[in-house]
Amino acid sequence: MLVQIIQNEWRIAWRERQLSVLWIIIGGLLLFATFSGWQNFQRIHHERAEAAQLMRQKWENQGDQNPHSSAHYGTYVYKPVSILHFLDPGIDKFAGVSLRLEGHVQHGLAFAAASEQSSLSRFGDLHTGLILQVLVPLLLIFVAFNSFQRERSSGALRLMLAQGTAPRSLLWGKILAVWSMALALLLLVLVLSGVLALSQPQLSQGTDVWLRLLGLTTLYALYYFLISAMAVQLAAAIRQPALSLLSLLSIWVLSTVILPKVVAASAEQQKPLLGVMQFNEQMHEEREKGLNGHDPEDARSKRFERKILAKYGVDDPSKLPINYDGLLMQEDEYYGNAVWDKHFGLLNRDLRQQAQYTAWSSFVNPFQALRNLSLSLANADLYQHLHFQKAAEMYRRTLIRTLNEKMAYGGSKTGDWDWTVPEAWFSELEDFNYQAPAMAWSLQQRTLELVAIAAWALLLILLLWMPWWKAERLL
Amino acid sequence: MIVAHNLSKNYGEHHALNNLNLNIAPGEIFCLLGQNGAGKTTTINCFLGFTAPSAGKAEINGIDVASDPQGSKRHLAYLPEVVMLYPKLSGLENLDYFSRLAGFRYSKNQLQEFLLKAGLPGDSINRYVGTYSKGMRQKVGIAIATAKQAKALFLDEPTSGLDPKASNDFSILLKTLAQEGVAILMATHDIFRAKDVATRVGIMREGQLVATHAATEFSATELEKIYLETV
Amino acid sequence: MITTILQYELKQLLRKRVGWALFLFILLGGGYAIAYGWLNYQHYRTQIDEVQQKQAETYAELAPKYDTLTQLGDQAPERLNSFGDPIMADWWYRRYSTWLPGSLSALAVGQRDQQTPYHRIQLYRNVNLPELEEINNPEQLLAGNFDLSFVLVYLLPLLVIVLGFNALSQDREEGILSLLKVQGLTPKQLLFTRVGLQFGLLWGLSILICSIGFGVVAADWAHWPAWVLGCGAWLILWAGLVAWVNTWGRSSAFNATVLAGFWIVLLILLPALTNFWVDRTYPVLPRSEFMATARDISSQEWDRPVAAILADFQKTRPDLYAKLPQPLRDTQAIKVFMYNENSMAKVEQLGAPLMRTGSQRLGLENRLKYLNPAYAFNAILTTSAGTELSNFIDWQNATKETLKQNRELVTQIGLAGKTFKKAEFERLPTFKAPPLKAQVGGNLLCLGVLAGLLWLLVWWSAQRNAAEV
Repeated sequence: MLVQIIQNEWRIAWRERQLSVLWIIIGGLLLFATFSGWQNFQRIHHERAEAAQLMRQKWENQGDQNPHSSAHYGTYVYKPVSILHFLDPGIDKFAGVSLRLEGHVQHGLAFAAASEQSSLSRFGDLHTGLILQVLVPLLLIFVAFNSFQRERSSGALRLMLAQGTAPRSLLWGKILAVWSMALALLLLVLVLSGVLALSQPQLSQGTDVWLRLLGLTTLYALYYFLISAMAVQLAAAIRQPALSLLSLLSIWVLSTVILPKVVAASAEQQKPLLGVMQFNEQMHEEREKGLNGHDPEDARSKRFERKILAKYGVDDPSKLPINYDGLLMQEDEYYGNAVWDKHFGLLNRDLRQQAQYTAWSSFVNPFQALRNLSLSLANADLYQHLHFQKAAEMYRRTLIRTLNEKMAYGGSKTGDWDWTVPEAWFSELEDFNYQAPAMAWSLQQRTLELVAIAAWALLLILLLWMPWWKAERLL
Repeated sequence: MIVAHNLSKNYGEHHALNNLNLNIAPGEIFCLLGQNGAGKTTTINCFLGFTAPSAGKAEINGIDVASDPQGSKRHLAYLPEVVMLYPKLSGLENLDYFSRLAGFRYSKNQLQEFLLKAGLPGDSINRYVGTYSKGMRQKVGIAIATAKQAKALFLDEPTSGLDPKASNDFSILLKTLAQEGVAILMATHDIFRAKDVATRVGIMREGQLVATHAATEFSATELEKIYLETV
Repeated sequence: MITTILQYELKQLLRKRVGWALFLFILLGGGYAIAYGWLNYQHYRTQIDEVQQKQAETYAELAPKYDTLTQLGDQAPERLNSFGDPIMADWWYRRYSTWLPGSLSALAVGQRDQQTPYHRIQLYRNVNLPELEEINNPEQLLAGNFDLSFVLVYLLPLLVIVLGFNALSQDREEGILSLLKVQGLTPKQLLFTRVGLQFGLLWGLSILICSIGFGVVAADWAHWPAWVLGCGAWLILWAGLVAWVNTWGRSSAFNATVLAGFWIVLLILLPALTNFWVDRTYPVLPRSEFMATARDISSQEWDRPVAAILADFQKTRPDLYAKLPQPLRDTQAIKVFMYNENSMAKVEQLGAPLMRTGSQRLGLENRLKYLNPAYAFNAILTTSAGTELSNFIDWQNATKETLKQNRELVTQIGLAGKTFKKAEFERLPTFKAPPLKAQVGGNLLCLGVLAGLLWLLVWWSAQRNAAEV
């Protein structure tokens, strides 16, 4: 019986000119967006890969150099773009892409593309994620809103129920029919994405990309089930088609356009972030005056000097067999790292709290769960951004420590600032090789959203089993 | 007052109305009988200017409806099968609104008069129409028609769905209007009601007026027999 | 007749719960947006104020030192020597150019939240290479701001749709239209009066909300007419769409579907497509090559022999070269200034395309606005609030100008071998904000032309479907 209902719904939808045209337009847009998204991904990927390569070349060709000069010269690292950027670019254009790494000081990720765009960019970009998140649900609403009205006004519903069709079967049939229309579009994207990803085997190797693609497909399929179940049940409950459409459209606008902004705005108000000047000022101050405010840099240096002199049993740094400057700089690095850990820890805590705030709203608005999970599965969310930032900082620490230790123990003496190390030594230092987190890690950060979307699915299924779905309610 | 000259309406090959000739004088009630799709509503729509005739002419008080639709509307009133009004306005407000649109401005008392005369209970005059029954809405519709002081009145299945008492009240009201000189064209399925109120009865079939009789010529049963033989 | 329709339409609207719900929705939405914008602006303002306060404190701290240097001359204590050095004086006096759009930016955040609103004014600084990058939550940026401009651009059209999608169809579906027609009312009169009334109410409502917003944030009322006219033009456009769809004579559900489609097209698809077009035509240039090359230019220039730097300096800045005290005695002492001028000239040349891209993008967006009226309306709000990219570019250019003035002063004093005293210290330039350039006329014209064309279409469609309308 279900199969017949689904077939019939497909036939009707296909014969309704507006719906079939809309379906074809959205399908076309999906193909176009996926393909152009792929081109865009390739452009950005190459841009960043080339930039990273250029910086590495410069690092390797810096000539014979004093390690400390090299630490000041520093290098830049680039946030690699995830291959699934072509499906959901997420925060990429709003987040910095390059990070300057040098001694003494930590920088923030810089040069977000959106900062060079006008407010036109805030209207949104045409990408597959936008169509899948915003337009496909709308198509489902248009298909579903009068799915009972047609049969009600023509009297076919009365006939169908008289033929012995159970009201719940009718609901399920219509839900599955609407859902299958979305799944067809999703399949289109999945196949094209798979082909595109396979065309770049070096980027899609490993199971993680494929797991993420599968995860994204499952996520969207689940969300479309929510929309289908909600739309069909509302269409069954509301008799006037215009009212049912208006209700569904209101829910769509509220969940897709209004609530995400309201929640983001409230999250920002709950945990306002410091301005970069204040933030740097605080770090600078603690580095100078000490983490507790009573341990100035001079005192720390003197203490450290005494400790080293005692260790080597000499009374002056110039008598040390090693280069004291290297040790002192590294000691200062350690202190700077502790300051960074404290302040970035606080900042990350605030950012995570903002993210948690929006995550909780998924229980009210399943669209939020979809958006956050989509960002997460595409490896283009805040957590991945912070993951990269941390990885880059860890690399910086290792690099600067290596340079400082070379300065200290490489054969130079205290005050020997002109001492140089051959270029080959620098090129032997390991390059930054960022390993993006695996899908399990990404999903772990989004447990709330996962629970919320599952709860929504359960709720809508539960509503279908409610005793109120009787023949008289549908008629 | 209500005149049709060779009035025709075609939808492609289908003749919804075929060469209709009709002349309804002031004070006359002309009832159109016929099966569904016989052309009764199309006839009324041509007089109301809702449908442009394919050939022929529909005139109200000597005004050609097709060439002066707005002018002709000044002289006619209409009561559809189901009178739908604004649910968030009271019966009185609906009457005031529709009358003012037609260019008549009445005092509150006059409006109440019209509604009471149409048979609307006094206590419901100021209630929202959304709470009215079909019969009550029909009465407001009659009040709207009478308040327009039209010389021609068109009624499309006006008693359908009304209870016998309401139908009877309605018949009395129609006769009163006719006595006041209004020409009335009523499309109906109700042979007995037609016999009761009509001056003349016309029977339509496939867009043609196939028979016209004075209502006094037959009893209701005879009329029914003629109707069944004709359609 | 029109007065009667207006009177009764208004009466019915006031009696409908949905009307009040919508009114409350927009009022609450607007209120929340204003409150959010105001808090957001306060937070932003506090940060800028702190920067400006720090600059004032630095000035207050340094001024007495320069008084002493001026009064005592060579007798000044040795610890003040570094303050006399031009490069050090420039370094000690930490000045910033700050991007501070007015309080109206609370109502139209625009691109303000994406920019770093301060830039250090110092000899070596380049506007293309900001020292600081503002801290943001990129997911919040992606979600966007719930400010008043969002309410006006996105939500106002929804109200027009909800109120007007069945402006004619409902009467037809409910069977009232035939009765109305018999009374001598034409559907065209009913439709236009009804849409006109809804437009009037919504425009009144938007004027009210804008006025509350302007009052609450104490904005410059000179921009109020632009906002009010912008809302009017935007609403006329949407009222036109609503009227047009109603002239087709289709069902209310069909009208609602089509109008929802228009909303998607005008507020999501067209902006996304124009964005796509702009991005492909003028992609945001990657800065990596610029950064790397700028750094190399700088270090290579520094490593060159002084004579070579001097020779280049003669070509780069013949005006300054001519003023050099002859014969040149200590070229090493002035090397830093010459090196800086040479490398700055090269870096600026290198950075020119970066500066140009923003303007090119804006130019194209401006040309495409006739395809994208939502952008035109948004631009009225953001440019008058001073939060559009164009305003930011104006600020960048003004910053660049201040940087140039600063460099000229420090370099001239340095090349002349002079030291900084109070007079020189006072001459160190501080940033002056550029005048606000609101782009109202062109965008209003765009909305007006589009609305005019649309209403012609409405008139034509109403004539064509006269039987239905």
